[in-house]
Amino acid sequence: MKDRLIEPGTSYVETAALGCPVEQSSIVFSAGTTAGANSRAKALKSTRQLAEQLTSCTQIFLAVLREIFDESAYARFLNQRQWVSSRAAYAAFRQECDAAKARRPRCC
Amino acid sequence: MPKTLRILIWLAVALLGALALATVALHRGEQINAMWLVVAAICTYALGYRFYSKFIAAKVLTLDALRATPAERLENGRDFVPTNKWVVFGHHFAAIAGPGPLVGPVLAAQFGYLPGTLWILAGAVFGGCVQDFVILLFSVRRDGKSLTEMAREEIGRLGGLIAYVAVISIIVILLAVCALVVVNALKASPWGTFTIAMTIPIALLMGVYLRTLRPGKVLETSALGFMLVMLAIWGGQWVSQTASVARWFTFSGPALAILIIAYGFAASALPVWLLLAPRDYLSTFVKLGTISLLALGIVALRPTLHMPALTRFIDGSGPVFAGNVFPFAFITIACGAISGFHSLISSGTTPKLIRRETEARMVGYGAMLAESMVAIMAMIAACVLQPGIYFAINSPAGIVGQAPEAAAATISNWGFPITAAEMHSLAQSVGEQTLYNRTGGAPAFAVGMAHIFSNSLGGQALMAIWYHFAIMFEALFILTVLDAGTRVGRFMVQDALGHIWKPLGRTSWYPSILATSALIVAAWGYFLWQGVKDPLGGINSLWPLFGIANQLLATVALCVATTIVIKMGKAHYAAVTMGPLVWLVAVTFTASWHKIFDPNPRIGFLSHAAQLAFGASANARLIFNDRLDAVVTGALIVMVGLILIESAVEWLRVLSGRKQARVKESPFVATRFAEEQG
Repeated sequence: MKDRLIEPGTSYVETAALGCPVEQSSIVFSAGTTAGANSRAKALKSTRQLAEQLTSCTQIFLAVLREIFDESAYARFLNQRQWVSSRAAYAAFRQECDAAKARRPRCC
Repeated sequence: MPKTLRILIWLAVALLGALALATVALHRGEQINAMWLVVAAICTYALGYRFYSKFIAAKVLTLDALRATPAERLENGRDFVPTNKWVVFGHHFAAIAGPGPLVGPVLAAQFGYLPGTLWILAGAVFGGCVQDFVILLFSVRRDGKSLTEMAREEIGRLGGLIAYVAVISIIVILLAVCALVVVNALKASPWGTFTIAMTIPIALLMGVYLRTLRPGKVLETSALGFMLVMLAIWGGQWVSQTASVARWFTFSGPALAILIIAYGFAASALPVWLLLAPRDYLSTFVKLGTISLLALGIVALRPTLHMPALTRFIDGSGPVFAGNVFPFAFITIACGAISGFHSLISSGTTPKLIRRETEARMVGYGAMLAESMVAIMAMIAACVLQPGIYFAINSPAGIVGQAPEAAAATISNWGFPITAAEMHSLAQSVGEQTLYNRTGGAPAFAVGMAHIFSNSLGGQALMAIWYHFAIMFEALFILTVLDAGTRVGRFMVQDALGHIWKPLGRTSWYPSILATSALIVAAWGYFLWQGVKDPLGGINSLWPLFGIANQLLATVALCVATTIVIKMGKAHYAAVTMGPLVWLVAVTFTASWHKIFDPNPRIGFLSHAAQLAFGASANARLIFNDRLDAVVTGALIVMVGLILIESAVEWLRVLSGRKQARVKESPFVATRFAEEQG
């Protein structure tokens, strides 16, 4: 899969979090540059890499929180029914998930 | 990375870990820095994860990256959802991290920091993480089946029944112990009681806010709830300093026990959205923040451990709880090393979220390592205290006496100097009238945590605020376990009674809700009352019972795991699960034997009952309690014996060829995530 995506003159940069699919945007061009431009490109690449990694970590952290706090479950619930968030929708969601939540033990 | 460099890095980690462990283990008579414990733990966990868990994944379980998980095959957007492994890791960790790894190590610190630390590290790497990992994977391969169902299918009907009874027993004893820890932390403490009392209206407010004003905005609501709790802590100081208000929040142990029992009943009967769910969110919010803060505080302060590596109490004469270091250190620390309760989570929600089989290693093994690290932090928080202070807080009045001077003199005579003036000054600095006889572990942990926090941020001026923050954190945590546990217990009782008379099994029928709630609350309420009335502080008898019940569940989980490993045709690797199983059986049998038959009345229930019966003021209720505890312990150990026998028979049948080695896994389906990394 990886090999099929790589064009000549490009290389892969592992920007996504571990275990996440590597995105198209993480392919950078490295061929056909002068030495000065190369070092600037390298600096730019590492800055962009760092920024992408930070964004990825923040997104994962927020996703963890949203999952722990049932916000993702609520989003899936709305998505499945093609509803928008409202009191009635949330009440329906709670009714559905409370039975499962109440049966879930909290560990010691 | 080149292979040679990788080898060199892992060699360096191993050497650093060995150096740290040697420093922790071999220093005698000098104080060491807490960072040695942190370094020893991190290196041990890194090596355990990199090598041992990889070995289990590759050789024993043969994780299959091409096999679809139930989250993918049965995806319904509700229970079965393929989820990013980091998200599942966070979710799983939040579910397994409870008050156990905070309280157990604090109590076990009476032996010194060494026995508990070594058990936490070895127990987690070779026991707890293995149990969580294999049970998670086996549940994933069985469409997310529960431990009870797997025990019934793989071992037999008796295995399933014992797993069910073990779960009920552990819930009842756990709730009693947790409630007792809260009672001991809050008695005669208007500040703490006010703060905790305020969390009830705050949770109700959150429930209403979430349902009517901002539907679905849980993180925002939890942050708001957290700010209100901080306000309640600040308000608690005013309450404690205003005599006319303080008396409304000053309760004795029995009065607090009654209040908590009433609360448990109400929480079980109220709608989930109103109290249980918002409290759960608030508790998780505070838990994740505080644990991170504690880790940062320890690294920033790098405190010195004042507790010696080993104390004189390894001989069994400890004031916090009686009994030798073996087996009682291993019963006292359950959750930070190996906890049977985790097998319920590993075979509950988590297997339904795992996207790829290979991710079970990080989630199952990795999250338990994180939990174990929390236990190490709790051990550090207890051991940064001067030992005299630690023993003054944790020793019951029945051992050291009621009067401050007498208690200080007794503890000083043990070789841990402390004066009544020092204790008085410490109590004042944390905004309490006294810190003597605050058994249960929570207050000692709170003082240690406040010490770390105040020395990292705010200085002595904030000591009282940090102490009450820590008490609030623990009590909130524990009350959440109490709410949820009572309700789970209620459902289990309803499920069982539904077989006898159908309407009793209907979870929406109010007479059934009230009757079963009363039944489960009465069960843990009885043990709580017994603990409150116990002159030895209750923890002495109840915590070992909890440890035995928890390890019984771990025994069931490891029996299931070993049976499946043997049926997979991997008998030559069965030692991976059988090793911790043999250790747990040795520990639980020895501990139970001591708790029932030990001639020392401080350890043995029966000898204590006999001593009371022959005493001048025979107390029939205490005698009955001792005998009841002996019967409960005996029943737990009989169950361990039965599940072992049934499992061993199954193993022998398979190994001798009398029974075909066939596991009951879901059929193989190729995953669509096969081309992803990882």
